[in-house]
Amino acid sequence: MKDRGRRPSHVTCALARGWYSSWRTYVCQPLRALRNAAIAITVIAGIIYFAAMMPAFNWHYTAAGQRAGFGWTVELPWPSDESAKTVEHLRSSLARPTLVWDGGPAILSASSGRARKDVPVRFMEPADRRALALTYHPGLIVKSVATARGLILDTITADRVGARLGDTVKLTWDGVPADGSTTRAYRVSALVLPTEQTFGALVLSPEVVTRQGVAVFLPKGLSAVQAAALTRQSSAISKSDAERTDLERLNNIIARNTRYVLTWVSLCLYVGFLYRDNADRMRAGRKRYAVMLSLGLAPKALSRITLAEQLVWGLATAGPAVLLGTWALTSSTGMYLPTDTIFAMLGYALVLNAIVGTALAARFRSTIRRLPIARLLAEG
Amino acid sequence: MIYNLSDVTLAHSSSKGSVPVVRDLNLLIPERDFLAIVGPSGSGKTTLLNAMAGFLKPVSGTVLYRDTDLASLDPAEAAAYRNREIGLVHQFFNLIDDMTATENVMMPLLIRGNTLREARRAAAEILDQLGLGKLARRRPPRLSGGEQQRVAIGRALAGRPSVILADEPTGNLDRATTRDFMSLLGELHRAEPLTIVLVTHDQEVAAAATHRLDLGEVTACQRTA
Repeated sequence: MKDRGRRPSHVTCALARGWYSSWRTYVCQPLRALRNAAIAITVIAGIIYFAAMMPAFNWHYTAAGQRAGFGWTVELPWPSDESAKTVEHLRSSLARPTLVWDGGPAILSASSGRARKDVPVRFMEPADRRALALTYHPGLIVKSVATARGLILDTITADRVGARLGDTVKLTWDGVPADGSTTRAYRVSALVLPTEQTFGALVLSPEVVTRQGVAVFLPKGLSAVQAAALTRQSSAISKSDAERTDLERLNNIIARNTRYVLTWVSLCLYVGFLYRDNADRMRAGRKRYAVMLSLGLAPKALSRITLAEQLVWGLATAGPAVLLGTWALTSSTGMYLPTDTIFAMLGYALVLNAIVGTALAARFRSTIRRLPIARLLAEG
Repeated sequence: MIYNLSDVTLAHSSSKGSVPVVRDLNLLIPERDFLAIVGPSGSGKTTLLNAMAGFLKPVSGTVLYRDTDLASLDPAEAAAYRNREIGLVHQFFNLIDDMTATENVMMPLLIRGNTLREARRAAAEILDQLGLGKLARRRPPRLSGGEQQRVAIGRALAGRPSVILADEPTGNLDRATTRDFMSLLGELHRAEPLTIVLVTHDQEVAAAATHRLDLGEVTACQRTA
């Protein structure tokens, strides 16, 4: 009797029945199907949303960053007494905790003739950046004595529009680029309020941090009351910025590592959920598997069918989950996700589903022979 | 002989380990026999049936199906044996709920490798013979117990097996349905070249068989008139 029988010429038919059976299992029991699909899609979408949002979160500066120090160099073309006052003011201003930041390799120092005085400056750079194009009124020229105009003051005090720490700024004067070349983007590296006696400073650095920078000096001439008010407001803004800012030098490393860590965390959560969800479904299907084995389905064929079930389920949930997650992300944050990013996320989810599904099917294959067929068939 | 059990000892696993339930059983079942296996609970009726279905290997002795030792079959051969040689009927029907009656009956044929068309045609014929033609597109939850058991019989017969192994097939049926079911089984036994081995604790059901094996007091096979 050792006759294996005719090799099934329609293995795909059996596979198709497996898929069909799976589809019928979940589609023809609408409430259970909807509930399970909704749970799966929501959880997966939430994990995607969480992972995508994480890199945008800001971190407080670390102690390591605080210990590192840099100084800025800027030429002060003014007479020495004004230079000295400005430097002292800068020093005292920039030494405030709200304005401390470990930044790139730039140095701020004052020179008067041959005397050179370095001012240790630490800067803070927010993680979020807004690109602004500011047109300054004529007369406010870099490296020159600025006339008393209120515009730059507005940029300090404005908390809605204006240069803030980390902003990307393009400087033009009446449409003319500041440095005579094509419009260049700067980052606002420091804000120092002017006082009645001293200039303030809006320190800008190129996007790529180098030792070259631009210092835009702000007009002086505030009254003590105005200076105090502006100080409070600017401190509040700066403090808010400080609380929301990252260390430039460590930020990339921290952010990169954090993204990696969070990506791995989200990956583990995602895989864990997939595994648990799929394992539960396979556990619930043991009776069905026992019936199919009792009808003469070979264990290998059953392995193929369970693999097909996992892959189909993965396809069915990954697509809606990614779309739901990206929709939640873009609608709640206004973030724009390029189409290729969405496709990349979809591919990522599909690959993960395939890996988890295949792993589960492989694990199931090893346990098929231990399936208590007789007991399962005897159960009600 | 279709089945030849020689000095078969069977055990089932429990929390206390392997527990022998059948010891040194010798049994010959001829072709086209209708054998009822009776006995009290725990006497090993279902265990014996499982051994004949190839789900359980004997602790000792041999279970021969047409001179083939079932314990020597590899998984693929065992699967082929269950698909081609036997049909199983269970107390709780074990139909696949998300498939229609027709699709349930088609399953053994699809597993064997028949085309969809062939399987569907054969299933329709069987269901018509069993009086379930109008219920062919219903799923098990919408069928009565008796109808489900008829579908199960149809699925067991779909592959034209040589043997029907039925484990308490009337356990979940009422008295009237039980009589109808046993009447059907008797008709099938007379019409088809089938060997039927049926496990039951119901004496009235056992009386419909031509032979009877009481595991409660196993000594020899008794012929019932």
